[in-house]
Amino acid sequence: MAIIIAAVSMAVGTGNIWRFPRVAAEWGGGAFLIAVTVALLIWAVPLLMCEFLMGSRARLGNIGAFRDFMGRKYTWAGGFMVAVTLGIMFYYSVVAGWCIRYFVVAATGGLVPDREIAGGATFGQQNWEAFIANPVETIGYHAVAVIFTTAVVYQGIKGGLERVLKVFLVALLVILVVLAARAVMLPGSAAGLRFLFVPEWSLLLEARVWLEAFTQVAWSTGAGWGLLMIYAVYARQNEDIAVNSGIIAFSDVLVGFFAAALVLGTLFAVAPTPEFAEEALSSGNYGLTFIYIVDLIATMPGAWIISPLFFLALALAGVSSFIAMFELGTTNLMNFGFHRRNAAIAVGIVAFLFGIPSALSIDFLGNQDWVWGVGLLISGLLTALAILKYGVNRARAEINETSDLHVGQWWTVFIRLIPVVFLVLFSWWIYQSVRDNPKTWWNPLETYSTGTMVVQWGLVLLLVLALNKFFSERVKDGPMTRRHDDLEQS
Amino acid sequence: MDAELIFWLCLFVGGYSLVVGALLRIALKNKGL
Repeated sequence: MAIIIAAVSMAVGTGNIWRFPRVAAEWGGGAFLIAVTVALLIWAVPLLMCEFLMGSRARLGNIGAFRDFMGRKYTWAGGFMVAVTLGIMFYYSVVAGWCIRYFVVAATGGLVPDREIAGGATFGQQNWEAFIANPVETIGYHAVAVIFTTAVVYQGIKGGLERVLKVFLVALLVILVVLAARAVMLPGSAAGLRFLFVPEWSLLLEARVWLEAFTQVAWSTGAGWGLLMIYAVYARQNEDIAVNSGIIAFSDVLVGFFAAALVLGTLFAVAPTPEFAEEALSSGNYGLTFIYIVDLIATMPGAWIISPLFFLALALAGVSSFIAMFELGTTNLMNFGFHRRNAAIAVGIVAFLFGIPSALSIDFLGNQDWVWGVGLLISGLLTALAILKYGVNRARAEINETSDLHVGQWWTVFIRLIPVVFLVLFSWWIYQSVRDNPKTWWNPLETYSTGTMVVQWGLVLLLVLALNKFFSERVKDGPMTRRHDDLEQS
Repeated sequence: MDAELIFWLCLFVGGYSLVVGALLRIALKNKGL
C-alpha cells in the first residue's frame, strides 16, 4: 500500500489542478478525455510498468538501472534521465514555494481584498505582481520548500517519506472532493462542467487534440520521469507491477476530474460572464491560479475557508511531487556511496542554489519548464529503448511473474510503438517552437526557442556521455549487475 | 444540470472510479487486506 500512496502522490501534482482543467476545457471536453484515456493505455501505463520493472529488479537508482538493463555502454541514458528530472526539480521547488506562500497568505486572511484597487489592475493581479517582484519572498518560500523536503528525505523512506506522503495524499483528496462538491452545487457551475465532460465529437478528428492529450498524459502521470523507478527500488520485490501501474495512471486522471470540477465549476459559477471565464482559462497556469482564481474566490461566500483550502491542496500536491524528484537525486547519489543524510543535504543545497534563477525570473522559470518538459519525452523514449534492448518479451514475462493481471501481447506492441509516438510528439513541439519564433527559433539565448532546448540538452548529453565510464564503474552493484556481466561474457 | 451532462459526468467519473476501485481491490487482496 505504501508504494501506491507514494506513487500516486508523486503523479498528482500542481499540473492536475491548474493544467488539466484548462487543457481539457480548451480541447473538446469529453473528446479530450477519450483521447486522454487512449494515451494512458498507449503511453503512460506501458512506460510506468517499464519503470516499475527496472527499479524493482535492479534495486538501484536510474543510472544503475539503465546500466543493468541496457549494458554498461548505455549508462549515460540513466544520467540523462536524472538530469532532465533534476532540471524540472530546480524550478518546481520555486513553484511549490509559490503554493506555500499563497496558502500562508490565504490562511492569514490576506487574499480577501480589504480596499479598493486603483487603476485597471485587479486585487489578484496586484498581489501576484507584488509577490513575484519581491526576491526576498520568492527566494524565501523556495527555501521553505527545499528545507522542508530535505528534512523529510533526510529521515528516510519509512520515517520520512511514507509518513508525510500518507498524510499529504489523504488531506489532498479530502480537500479536493469537498471543494469539488461545493463547486458543483454552485448555481451556474453546470456550464463549466459541460466544458469538461460533454464531448465535441468533431474535435476527435483533429490531430491537435490527440497531441495535447498525449502531452498531458506524458507530463501528468509521471511516466518517463524516472520517479516510479526510484520508488520501486524501495518497494517489495514481488509488488504487482501491472496492477500498481494501472492504479497510478488512472487515479492521476481521476484526481484531475475532481480538480477540474472544482476549478471549472467555480470559474463558470462565479465569473461575471462566460467570456470572463474563458479569458481566465486562456491566461495560462499561473494567471488562472494566482490571479483569476484569487479574485473569483474572494467574491464567494465562505472565501475565508475556501481560499486557504484551495491553496493548501495546491501546496500539498506540489510538495509531494517535489519530494519524489528530491528522492530521485538522493537515491542516485546514495548509489555512489553517499550516506542518505549526506546525500539529502547535498541535494538540498544544489536544489536551493540552482532554483534561485527561477525564483528571480519568471521568464527563466518558464523557459526551463519548456526545455525540460519536452526533455521528458526523451526520457520516456530512453525507458522504452532500455526495455527493447533488454528484451520486451523477457520483460513481459518478468512482469507477469508478479502480477495478478496477465499482461498480454498488447504491451509489447505498445512498447514498440512508443518510439513512433515520441517522434510525432517531439516533432510537433519542435514545429511549434519554430512556427512561434520564425526569426529567433535557432537562437539559444532566446526563451522558448528550439535553440535553447538543443543547447541545454546537448550540453547535458555531452556531460553524461563523458561521464559514462565513471557512472558505470562507480555506481554500486545491484542484484542484476553480476548477472548482466555474465550474460555479456556468455 | 441537464441529462446529457449527467450522462457524460457519470460515464467518465464512474468509469475511472470503477477501474481504480477494481485495481485497488486486487492490490489490497494480495496483501490480505
